[in-house]
Amino acid sequence: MGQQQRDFTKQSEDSVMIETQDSETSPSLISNIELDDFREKTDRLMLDLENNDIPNALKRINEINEINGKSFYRIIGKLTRGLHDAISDLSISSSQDLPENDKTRVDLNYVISLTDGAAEKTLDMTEQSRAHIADLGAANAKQTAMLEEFSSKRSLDKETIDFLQKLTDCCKQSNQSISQLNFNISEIVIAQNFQDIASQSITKAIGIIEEVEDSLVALTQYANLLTKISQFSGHDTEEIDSEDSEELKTDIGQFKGIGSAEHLDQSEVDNLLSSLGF
Amino acid sequence: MPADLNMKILVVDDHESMRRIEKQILNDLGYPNVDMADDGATALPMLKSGDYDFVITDWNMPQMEGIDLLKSIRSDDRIGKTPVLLVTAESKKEKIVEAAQAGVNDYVVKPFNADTLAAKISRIFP
Repeated sequence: MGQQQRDFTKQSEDSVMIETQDSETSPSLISNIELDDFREKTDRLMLDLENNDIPNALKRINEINEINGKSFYRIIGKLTRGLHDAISDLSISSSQDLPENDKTRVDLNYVISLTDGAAEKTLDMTEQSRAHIADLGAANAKQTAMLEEFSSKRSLDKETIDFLQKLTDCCKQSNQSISQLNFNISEIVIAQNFQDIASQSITKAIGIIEEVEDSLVALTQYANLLTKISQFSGHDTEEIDSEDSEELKTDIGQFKGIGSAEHLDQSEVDNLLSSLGF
Repeated sequence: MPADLNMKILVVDDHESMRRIEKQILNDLGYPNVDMADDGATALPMLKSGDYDFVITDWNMPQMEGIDLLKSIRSDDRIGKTPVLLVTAESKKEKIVEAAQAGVNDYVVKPFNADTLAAKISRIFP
């Protein structure tokens, strides 16, 4: 049994205990009727054990487990509702005609398309800016060359020489600014890099939310089925509980796997490649 | 052989913004001959019909993934020795090992900067 599943089971047990203590003041995870039923069955279990009536004692234990199971599935139901509401709360667009869950998925895709559009517009601007900067650089280089030519070919008075020197200094300063602009544009372009990562992460998040929600909905539906079955037979649920437990274990294992994959940064990638002979 | 600034480079990525970013960075680094493809399936015929010196490809793409493009390149007699750089958000150890076994020349994890790309090109074309 994985740690996460143990936590779920523990949480279920804790919830029953807490609700047993505070059932009159807090929302019930286990109803008063179930609580009375629970007390009655534990009393009967004690009596069966005192009378050494093992078959009936086992029957009581199964019945008590069944109450515990109902409480557990109620928690799953609350989790499902919580996730559903959280998904609905994420909704930010005006696509009102869509079902709530679909709307959120559309909205997250809408976020991707918006940020993609923003990145493309930024790149449009940087490409246009580069062209203008190149023109500025060419014009500046031409002015500098003309100044140098003018300064070298003519005998000039001091005032003109000083004036030309100031113009040359201005050209140098412009050249430095143009270089800085080029650097800044490159940094802006590289910063758009994160857009690609963000959209991939959101896409993965949409997939994970769908999987978790589908699993919880399936589990809740199964709990309802279990309740119906238990109304007809007190003990048929044991085998199904076991199957469901395995299914939940698998689902939780898969969910844990999503978050725990080993990701490497660039230096670790380089080290790994070196170890592989690259 | 040191990288020829006039070499013909093919950038393959399904995200248009990413293709443009890589192209602009390559232009900044002094490589003006950069073509772009949006997927491995689009890139492969371009590679087979063109004379590309270097391929930079993403991993996750819709029709043909970067790893499959790499394998297709390596299995082709004519273009089999074209250097391939994977630039991708896939940073799981097993993916990197898979790429290495498939014959990738180097691997860059997104997001990256111009210095990283320049260093990788220098390493591939020493």
